[in-house]
Amino acid sequence: MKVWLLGVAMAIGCGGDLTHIPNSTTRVARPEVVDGTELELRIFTDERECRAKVQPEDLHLCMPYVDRANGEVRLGFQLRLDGDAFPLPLSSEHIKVGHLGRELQGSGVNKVEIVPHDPMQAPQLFVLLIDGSSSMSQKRRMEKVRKALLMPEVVESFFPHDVKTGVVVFQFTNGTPVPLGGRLQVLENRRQFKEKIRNMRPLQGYTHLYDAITYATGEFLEQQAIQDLLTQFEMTPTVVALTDGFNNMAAGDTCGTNAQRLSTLLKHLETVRSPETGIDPRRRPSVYTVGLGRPLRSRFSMPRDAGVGVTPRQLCGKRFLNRRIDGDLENRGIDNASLEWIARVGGGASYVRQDRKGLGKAFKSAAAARYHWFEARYRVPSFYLRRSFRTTLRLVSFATGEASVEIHPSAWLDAPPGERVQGGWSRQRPFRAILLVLLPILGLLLTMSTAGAAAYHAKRAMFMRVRRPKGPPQV
Amino acid sequence: MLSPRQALGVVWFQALRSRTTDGSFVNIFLIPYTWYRHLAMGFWCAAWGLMIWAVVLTVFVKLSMGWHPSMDGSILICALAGGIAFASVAGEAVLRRRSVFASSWRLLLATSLTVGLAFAGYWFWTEVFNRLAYSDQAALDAVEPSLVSLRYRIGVFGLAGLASGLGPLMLRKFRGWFNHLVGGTTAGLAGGIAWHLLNYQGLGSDLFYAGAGLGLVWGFVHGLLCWGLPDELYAGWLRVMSWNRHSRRIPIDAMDGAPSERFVGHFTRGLDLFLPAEDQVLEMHLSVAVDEEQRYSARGLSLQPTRVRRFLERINLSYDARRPTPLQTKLSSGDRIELGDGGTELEFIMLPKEEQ
Repeated sequence: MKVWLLGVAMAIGCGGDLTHIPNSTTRVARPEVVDGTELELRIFTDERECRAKVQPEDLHLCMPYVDRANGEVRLGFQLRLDGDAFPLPLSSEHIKVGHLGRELQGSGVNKVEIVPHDPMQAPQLFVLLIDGSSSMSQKRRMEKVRKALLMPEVVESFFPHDVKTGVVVFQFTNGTPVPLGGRLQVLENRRQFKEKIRNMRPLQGYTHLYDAITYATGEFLEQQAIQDLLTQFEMTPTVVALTDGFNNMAAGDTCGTNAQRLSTLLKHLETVRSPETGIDPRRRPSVYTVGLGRPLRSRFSMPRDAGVGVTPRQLCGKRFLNRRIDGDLENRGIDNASLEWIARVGGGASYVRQDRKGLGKAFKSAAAARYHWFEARYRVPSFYLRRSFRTTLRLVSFATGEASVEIHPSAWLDAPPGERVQGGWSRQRPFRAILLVLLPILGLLLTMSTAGAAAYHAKRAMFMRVRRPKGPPQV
Repeated sequence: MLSPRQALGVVWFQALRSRTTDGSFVNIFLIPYTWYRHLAMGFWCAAWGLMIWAVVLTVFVKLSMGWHPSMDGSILICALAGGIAFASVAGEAVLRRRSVFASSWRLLLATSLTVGLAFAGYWFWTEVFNRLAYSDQAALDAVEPSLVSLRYRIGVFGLAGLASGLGPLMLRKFRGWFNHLVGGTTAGLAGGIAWHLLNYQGLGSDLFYAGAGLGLVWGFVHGLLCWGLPDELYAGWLRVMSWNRHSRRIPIDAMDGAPSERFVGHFTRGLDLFLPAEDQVLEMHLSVAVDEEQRYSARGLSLQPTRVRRFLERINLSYDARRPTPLQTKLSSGDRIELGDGGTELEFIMLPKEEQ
């Protein structure tokens, strides 16, 4: 009996390490950060911490939120290095979200989205790799690229006002890419950039795309002058590769022959981005790929277990496996599968566009601002929110970082469910929404309470039980 | 009739008021003697159940929930059981125009007893029964405080419902024990089922509306089954409906509840209700009696026509000289009594006892 009473007393007085989320019936445990990762992935669970880290208007987005009615979970998080915020341009490809031990794919009924907050411009060194092969002279492709790069918003992205950036432009055909204009120069302002780009012309030759990326992320960055530049201005290298076709090194190349070459490139990217190299995460290159044209495999999606080993079948599918690139595949579209793979392993994103505006947007996105903190939103069938669950966030690009948090919604009650807003996600309703339930039902009960009397008296009035007869009956 | 202000009076305040003259939310004047009166306590307790839910949810959401998650259920269940038991007892007190302050210790005792029993029932079911009844994974699920489940909580609802019947039962000196025990348990279970259906996967998985449904249904079923409005709150009246002396009325019941009989006729002295002879009413035409069990009956005392009319029924009570006793019939509220052929008509109606 004493033990039982002690247990009850402990239960009453002890909520353990759980933190109550204001305006909800949810509690969260202390987030667990996985040891040995390069970045600390900090999940926000403390309101005071949120107040310190985010803008006041975003405070409600910072704290964890569980909307069981809509099956949605939201977590705010920040990436940190050595105790300071480490801004990154994250999107849903860069973060893996796990629920109850399973990684969410963001397809079907599940939906995953990473929403960045508090943008900031970070010092960056942009390395532009522009395809200079013969095909770029066709259909005014080079002109489209040139105009896209000269769009004011693209120039603004590459050279923001409040932070130091630099741009190096290469063109690639055969072998090592060549600096635009023949001389390696780090463009430091908009004027230099525009001048260079205006003089960009197509070259002649094949498309050694993979070699160009290997060079830009390896040998080029290892040059002492570039190292000094990166260190002096604390720049992060960002490689943006543009092509209008396939990696094509010889006339007899087929799509399938690129698989081995792509694997080699991916291994290289993995190596230069690996924590084991000991390179500061801020100095590791990110690779963005931009395709000019229409995708050859428009339904391509990365295999779930995609690594750096690529098989010809994975890259080309059954249909294009042994088709020649030269004169055949390059006329049908661009190798979007390769581009996506490179971007995935390279920690960037892949874009395929056909016109100047689309290219401009792609370049702008590649040079995107970085963000101080993010929201991880996901939706699962609400069945999976009917007990405590653990949500895991894992950074899969840029660097390593992982954390998880145990979330305990109440088993009995919920705050008012969120309302769906634009974008398909729900927004937390204020607690006063409870009145929308309370007042109508109380009003109904009050009405029902008096309805009996009302009906009774109405009936009596209708059947002449209340009024006096107009005169004595005529007998 | 009641003004809107009277109807919208603050429930808590009025529940604690001593004798009042201006009515309240649970107001006998608002509850005519029809079948509908059986729902009145249901509405009252449902409103309380809903408000208790709102209060508990506000506490959960607005206060820092510093207690362990396993306490969530016991707080909600105990609050609902206690609140509904209080509503039942306070509602009765208001209807009887009792001073709640004067018997507040009994009210407090009954509510405390309910809360205590509900608390014990909750922990018995979750910590003892579930541990004994289930094994393996089911045992882990059964004691998991965050699991939304009716399977492992059904007994909690039943026991809490039973507790919500036991508290008022004690206050009512164990009268109507069957109604209280069975009705209370049924109410708790009905609330649990409503809660489950509203949060069940496929029906919204929404514990917000489920909580509201729990309080509402539990309260309504409790009010409906545990304590209905007793007839002793009403008294029978005879009311003149014909042109002559229209709306004159007399109560049938004696003030002390003893059996009584009222006489109607044109005898000028001593009768309870005088009706003129020119309307073909005889000196002693009719009597209406009530026995100790508050059953009403009409007796024809004259050879003149005396008929009781009700829906699809007409009963002749004219005195038959061959019979030693007058003819009589039971009366129900709303029955009409025709006296003679001159169009004189009376109405038997049940009104709240306090009707003047």
